[in-house]
Amino acid sequence: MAAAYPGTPSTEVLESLSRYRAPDLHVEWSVNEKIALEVASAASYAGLRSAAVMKQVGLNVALDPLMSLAYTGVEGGLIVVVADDPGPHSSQTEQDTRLLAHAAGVPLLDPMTPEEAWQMVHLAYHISEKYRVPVILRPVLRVCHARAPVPLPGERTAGGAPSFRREVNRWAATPGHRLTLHRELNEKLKLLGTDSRVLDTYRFLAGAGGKSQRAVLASGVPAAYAFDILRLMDADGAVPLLVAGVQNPFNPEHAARLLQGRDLLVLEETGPFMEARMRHLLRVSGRLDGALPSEGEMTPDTVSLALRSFLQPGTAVAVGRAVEVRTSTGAGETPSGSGGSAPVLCAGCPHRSSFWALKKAMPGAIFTGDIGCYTLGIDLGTVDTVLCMGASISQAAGFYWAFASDPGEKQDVAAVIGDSTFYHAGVPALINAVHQGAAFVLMILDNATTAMTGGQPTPGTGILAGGQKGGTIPLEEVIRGCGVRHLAVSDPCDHATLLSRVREAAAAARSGEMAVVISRSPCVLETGERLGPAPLVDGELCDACLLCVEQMGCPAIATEDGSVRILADLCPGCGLCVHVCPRGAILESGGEG
Amino acid sequence: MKPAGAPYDIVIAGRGGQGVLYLSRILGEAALVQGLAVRTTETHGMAMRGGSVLCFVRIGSALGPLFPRGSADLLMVLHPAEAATGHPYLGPGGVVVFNGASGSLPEFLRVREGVFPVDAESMARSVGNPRGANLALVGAAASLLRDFPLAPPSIKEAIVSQGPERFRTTNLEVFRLGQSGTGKD
Repeated sequence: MAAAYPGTPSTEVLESLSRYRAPDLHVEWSVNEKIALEVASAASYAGLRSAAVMKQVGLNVALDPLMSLAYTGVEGGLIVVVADDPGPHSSQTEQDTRLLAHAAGVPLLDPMTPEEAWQMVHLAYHISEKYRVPVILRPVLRVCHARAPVPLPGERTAGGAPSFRREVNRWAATPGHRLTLHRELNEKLKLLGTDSRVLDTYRFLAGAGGKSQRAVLASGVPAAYAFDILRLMDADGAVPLLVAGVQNPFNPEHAARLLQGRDLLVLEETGPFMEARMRHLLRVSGRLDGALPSEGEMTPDTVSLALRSFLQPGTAVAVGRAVEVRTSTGAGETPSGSGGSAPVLCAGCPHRSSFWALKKAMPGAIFTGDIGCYTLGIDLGTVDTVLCMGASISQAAGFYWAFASDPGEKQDVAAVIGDSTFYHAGVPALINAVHQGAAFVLMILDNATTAMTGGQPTPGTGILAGGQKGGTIPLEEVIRGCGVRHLAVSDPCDHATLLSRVREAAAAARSGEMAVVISRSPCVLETGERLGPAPLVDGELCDACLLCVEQMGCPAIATEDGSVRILADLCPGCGLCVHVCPRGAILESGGEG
Repeated sequence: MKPAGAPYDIVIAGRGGQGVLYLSRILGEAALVQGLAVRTTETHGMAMRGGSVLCFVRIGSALGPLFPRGSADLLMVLHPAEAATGHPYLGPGGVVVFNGASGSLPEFLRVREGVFPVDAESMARSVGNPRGANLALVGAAASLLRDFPLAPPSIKEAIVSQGPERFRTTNLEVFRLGQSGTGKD
């Protein structure tokens, strides 16, 4: 059994599994990561091999079951795949899952390449089944979003039949028994630290027995970069490069024995995990002494500079913050001196109309945003906060209460959340807001998909991971069930009507009522449909105020020699700009577009 | 200079929606057809919404999917405005295939040797496959570059095995146009 919630860069794991049809394999997109891990844990209790898959911030949501699961242990092998995102390229934080694995007492394997990730799945199940613990496999983005040939065996070996053995003192342990389980876990971790299969993952990638008095200890992708760069420097014979595949529990004494008193450079992502544990044993350089930056993805450039200044002191001066060069172009980042382009909402994206309606109906409002494509509403000035999944609703409630007793002019508050994020973490937040009596406008952008991660189905669509039909949970029923009385559903493609619905909702919120607007239209990337003909700009009426260019963030509107032009190639014809232009200079074209 | 046995490193610079990832996939598959080791990586997520996308393709023996700046053997520019994003990765002897007329080359490329502007966009349009410019660039690279490790038959095989069937014929045509009708002037 495998369960996951989509999140970059982990999404492709479950997508691949869902294409693999086997009658005895249950694969699901769960509503959130906590639920995914809980579902997988029960399959494991029943003796089946299982997996839960998430991105690193998803583990924050699933940390509750994980901490407890470490104590209860498992029956069938259970792997938690947690994809870290140093950079961060597509996340709120660049947290290091090894630290959470350490806190939870869960073994963690850190692959450096896609091939090794495949091998480590086998080792992870071996460890999980031998010690009856859940095991984390932590591929970072450069493993997840890397491709390399991986030889696979032909046939899948069938799993056993499920059976649940009652053991109340384990599966339903009371605090007294929890103490016993904690002791058991600590003993498991101690044994694991010296297990030969675990110690075998400490191996020299290069320079075994090399004559240099300096050595490199690495894990994950930085180990791969160090290997490539030592070879470029022709130093791969002399300088020992030790990689440690199992990161929790980490055995510093074993590493020190292999390194034989050499001075050490530690390369790892993202925190100083091994480094802090080696410092009392050897002379160690890394993040803690400023040889490497404490934030950001470790790139070949970072590794190259650090290796050069470590191996040839005095030749390279750039250390610490000076090597903080970022090589890729994630959200909003642009390498210096480049013409890099920031992401924007797609042309024709229904969210643009929704944001524009909020902007028109509620000027001066505090807009709490959430996690998804619609974070890009920042460009339209209708996203003021983004904290974590579901926080748009709780933060809107918090802002409402913060200003509730303020004698000044009434502060409008509006929350914006996508359908998938609403099912994930918005529902308890809405129940809380209604229960407490908060009043604000909640707009749910219902595009019938998890768009940001590539279009996974949501409970509202009633489609399952493998494309089969499942239960449908309509947003309207959930919202009414949460106690909301003022509910409107509107199509953002009909901008004028949506605008009226938002105005009514804003009025209701001002009079003390919680008001929800579902703005419903499918993602244009999913449908690929033409919405209408591309509008035309009337050159006589247009006074080139550029409001449409500067405030809509639409990739299909551009300026050419100072005049506004609609790029018919890119424009799917949503027609929003017709409403946006204050001079009425953008006209719907009746013709072929 | 790179030591013997070092991989052939390619950086592709473009924007979301241009088929940058598809191009790296074709190069990767073509390498597999020839039995060469290959490793690719790219930036996903927010970059898919029209943002800059850089792809790295390493053909030959390497462990890391990224390589240091100043070491690529080939820069493929899909979007002219992204030339500057990819340029820092180009090595001293590296070459460039550029989607655009020679007049549209930015200054820092105009002063370099080994820069090949290819009117890939027009080639793609001429066969009714406006999104096929990426394949015209590969065609040009395969015919113009001495050290390019991928042979046309393996690239064609990759196009056939990886492309959606309805674009197969025009994809192969764009590739052939890139091979023969280069924009060199």
